[in-house]
Amino acid sequence: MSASAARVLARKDAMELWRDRRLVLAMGLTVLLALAAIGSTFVRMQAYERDRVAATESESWLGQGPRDPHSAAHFSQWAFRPMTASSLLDPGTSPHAGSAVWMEAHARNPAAVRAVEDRVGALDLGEFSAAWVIQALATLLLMVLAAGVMARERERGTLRLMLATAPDARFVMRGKVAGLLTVASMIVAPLLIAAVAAVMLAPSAVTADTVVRVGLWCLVHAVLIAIAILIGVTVSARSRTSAAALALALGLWVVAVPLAPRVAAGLAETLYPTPSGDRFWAAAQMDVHDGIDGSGTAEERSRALREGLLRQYGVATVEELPISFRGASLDANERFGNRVFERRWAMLEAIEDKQREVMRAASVVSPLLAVQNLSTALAGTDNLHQRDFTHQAETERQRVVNALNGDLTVNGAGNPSYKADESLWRSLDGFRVQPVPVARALAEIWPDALILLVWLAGAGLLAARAGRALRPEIEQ
Amino acid sequence: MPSPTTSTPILEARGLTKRFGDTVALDHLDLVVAPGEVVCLLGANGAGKTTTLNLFLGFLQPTGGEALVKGRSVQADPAAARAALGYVAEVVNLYPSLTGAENLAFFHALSGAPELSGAARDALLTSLDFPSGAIDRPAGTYSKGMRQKLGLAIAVARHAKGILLDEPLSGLDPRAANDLVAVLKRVAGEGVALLISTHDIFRAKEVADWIGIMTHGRMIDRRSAADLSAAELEQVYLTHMAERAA
Repeated sequence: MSASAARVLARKDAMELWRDRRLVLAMGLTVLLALAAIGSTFVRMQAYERDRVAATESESWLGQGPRDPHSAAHFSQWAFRPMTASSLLDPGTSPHAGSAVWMEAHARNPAAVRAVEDRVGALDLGEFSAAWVIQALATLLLMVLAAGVMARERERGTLRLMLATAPDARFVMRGKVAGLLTVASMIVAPLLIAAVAAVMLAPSAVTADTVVRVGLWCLVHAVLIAIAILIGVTVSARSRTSAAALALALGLWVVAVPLAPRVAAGLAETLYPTPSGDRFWAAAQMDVHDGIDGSGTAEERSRALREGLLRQYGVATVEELPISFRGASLDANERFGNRVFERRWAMLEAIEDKQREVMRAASVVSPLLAVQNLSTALAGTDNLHQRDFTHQAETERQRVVNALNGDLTVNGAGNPSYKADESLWRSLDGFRVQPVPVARALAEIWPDALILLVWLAGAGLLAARAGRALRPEIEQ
Repeated sequence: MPSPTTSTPILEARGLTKRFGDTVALDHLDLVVAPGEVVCLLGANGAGKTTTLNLFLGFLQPTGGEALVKGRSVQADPAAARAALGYVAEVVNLYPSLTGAENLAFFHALSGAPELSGAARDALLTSLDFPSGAIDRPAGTYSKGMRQKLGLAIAVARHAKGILLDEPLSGLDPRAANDLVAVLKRVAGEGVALLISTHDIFRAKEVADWIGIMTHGRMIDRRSAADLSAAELEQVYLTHMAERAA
């Protein structure tokens, strides 16, 4: 009987909503916006892939001709982060974090090519994407709809007859929630179908990993929609008038959607400030010059290297060494620089991790924070994926530079004009960024999934309690 | 008409009491409405009539005593009570954008009753003198009398054993009120117990088997409608009101 009562209510509500042209228009606009978001992201992705291929080819690592291996280390290569099909759904941190790393000797460069830097005078109000449309627009529309469902019945007196007729007030509540879920599916289903179609048509390959990511992404957003509906209906059931319900629902939306993520980000930055780029690089250069962990200054390290090599090979001058002192010196400096950058980047990443914990703790105020973590992680556009990409690029940079310095050390002995040729370039070519498996992403985001489920359970509990307490009028 | 004395009462109040803070809205009400019986609660605003109906519907929790529907406590089993009861408000609020038929179908289905066939629906509407052809019009176009009849149809269609009517005759023109009284008598004739709250002494006399006069939450008098004329009933009522005022 309960399922039937819920269906009856859902059908009636859907019929009423359908006859209200303003709502049909609002739903239509939301769907159109979502389709536009997916379309524009799809176009951006294609343009990025074209640029990536063009940039990779134009650098022509293999065609650089014979040259000093250390010059080749500076000639170097770009490591481009491939845009995965799932990133169509949520650009996440990509526009800010950069999508390419210039891999050269002496420095671990930060990722460059940031979409936000190409925008002139644009306000940063969030990326126009499928995720934004669901997280911001669909939740707003559904909370507005939900705020009216029970309070409007109360206001026009139909709730009294409804409660007198239905077997139980909880059935009325369940029916209202079911009705809104039906409406939500009418809004979100076309969007999800379009998103899935766009992912399947994306330039990058669709793998089982992509399918799992897209499926889970849809599930996460379905849970968010359900939470928005449950909270909206609860507000409606507890409000004397639809105006009061609407004001409260809008207030909650403002706190949860535009406000909480920004306040949380501001709080995280205040508690754990990220050093400016200038400060970071100045500190790294100082470490390289002054040394770390009692290693001595650059001059002391250079002197120690020279004395060590002379002692090792039993010679009096560097010219007598069977290896290139220049190559060995470059190699030693490079390896020391790597230690410095690893330490500095680790400190930076530790700050990011702490900021992330603050953001996660702020999920108590808004489920959107947990959803954003899950959405970007599943789309492959969160900090974890970015960090994995920069780590891969750094590992490759070290491999290439160390190999080039090693080649110079071995083959440049007594030959200051030594030049390596294509065979060396070819042996170091072929770097491809490996995608992060979804299992690894899930291992990072399970606390967010748990938080979201707690929100769902809490919202369900509140709605159930409001259902039990549902009365035709609210006593003063 | 079934005999009130031989059947289990549909509605029964035993010392039913409701307080809102220091205000006593209903004070130890004892009441029995048997199948096919029509009882009118007569009284001014605030007399406790609507509170009585709300307690039978389970919308309010009693402070003392109990309300029973078919011998079962409303408080202990509100779902069973609602399944046996129909309710017609002073103003039957329907969904204005839905047709009368859609409203009827919706509330009927909401009650969990088996689907109403077209023929059964038409027969029901005819028995309630609902204007033919109006059922497919949006309910927003209905007069108050039509809404009352549709509200009654919703209650009757689900075979309610008892129907609670809150000021059903208020605001109706004389002809519509007359029509509704006739319809209510027919419904009661089918064995349905009716508990009606009203201000209207003359219509109460017309429709009721007996009348309870209420003031300040107490039933202060109980009269058989057959035992006195409308004028006598009015005199009794006014005398009670004057005594309470004094």
